[in-house]
Amino acid sequence: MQVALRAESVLQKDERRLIALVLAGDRVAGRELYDAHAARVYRLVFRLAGDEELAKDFTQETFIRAFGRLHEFRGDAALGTWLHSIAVSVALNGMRKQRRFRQRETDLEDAPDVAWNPNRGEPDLRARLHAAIAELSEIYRTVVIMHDVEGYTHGDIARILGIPEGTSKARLSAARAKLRERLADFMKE
Amino acid sequence: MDDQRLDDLMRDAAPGFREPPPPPLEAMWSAIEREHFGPVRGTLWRRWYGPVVGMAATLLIGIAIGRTTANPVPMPGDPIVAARSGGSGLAGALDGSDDIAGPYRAVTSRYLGQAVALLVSLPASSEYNADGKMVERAGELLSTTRLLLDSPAADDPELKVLLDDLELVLAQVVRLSARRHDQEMELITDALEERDVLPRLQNAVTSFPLSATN
Repeated sequence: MQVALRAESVLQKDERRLIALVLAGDRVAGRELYDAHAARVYRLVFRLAGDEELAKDFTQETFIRAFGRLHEFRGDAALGTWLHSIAVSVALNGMRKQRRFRQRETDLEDAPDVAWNPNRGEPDLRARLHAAIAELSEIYRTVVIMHDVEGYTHGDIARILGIPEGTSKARLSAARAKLRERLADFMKE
Repeated sequence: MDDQRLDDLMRDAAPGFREPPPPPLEAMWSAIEREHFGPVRGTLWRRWYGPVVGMAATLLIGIAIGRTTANPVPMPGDPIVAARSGGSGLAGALDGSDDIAGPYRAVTSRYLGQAVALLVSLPASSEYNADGKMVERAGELLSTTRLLLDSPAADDPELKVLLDDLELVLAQVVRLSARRHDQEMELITDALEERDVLPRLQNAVTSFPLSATN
């Protein structure tokens, strides 16, 4: 435990140095910070958005915003937590805009039935689960993706989403209840 | 469906939900760099810039594998830290350790990552950071290169040759001066190309974390 804490302290010290350099306009330091966090940020926003182009846009936007606001970073939380918080916010807002845009488009066309249909044939339980997760409402889906898919703790989720830890647990529990309900028919087979 | 069954299903199947493709790290960085730091100018380095950025992507994957497979975090007594703070060096830090693979992997992975970050950013840094930050960074990396050359890391013959070449390139970067910038950059480019440094660095980055996991 002590070793882990010392190691974390070294990493934080290094990050603080890099942050100071980025604030002074150092591209190399910017690249180092990006290299340390970009892959994880991309994974998370891809899971949230389910689209390569959107994930790319959201990751870029996350780092552009983060670098632009780096002077506001106080170091109360880890830099990764702060970055992921920006990433989730960027992704959720971006997806809402996309949904509004798509809604306008589908209003104009004969929209196919995109609602989840319990009688629709699914190749297997795994695919059914993935469809059910995708159909969850945003607040539940976000917590399921972060906790069950990406492995964040409730503490991480609370800090990133700015909610109490208990709320994260409650949302996950409610999300699982919905998944159980949606998968019930399939599981009887 | 009971809780246990759902738990099992979630554990088995949830990680496959929207499996992310490899991140387009270089394309994203280009946009971020342009937006935050301003456009990258200069043509001299562009002929090898492409391979370098591809290598950086590979490096990140390699480092990720290395860091998640074993003993990922540098410690305060870690040689890279000692090197950066002017400490007694890598060989000394490794002396007496029964587990050379861990520090060796962590230090070398980190060193390679920093080398790539520097080389990728070199064209822009050399034009916009006339205050010598980039040269200072190259100087730090050069010190680490020399410490690695004196350490068990250099027991790997391929890595040793690569470190030798990186030492040469970094020494040239350290000598960069604003006055003779173009000529010196050309020398560095020639050195990189003649010695085939970048493709070999790419190979080392790809294979290193796995070969070092013992």
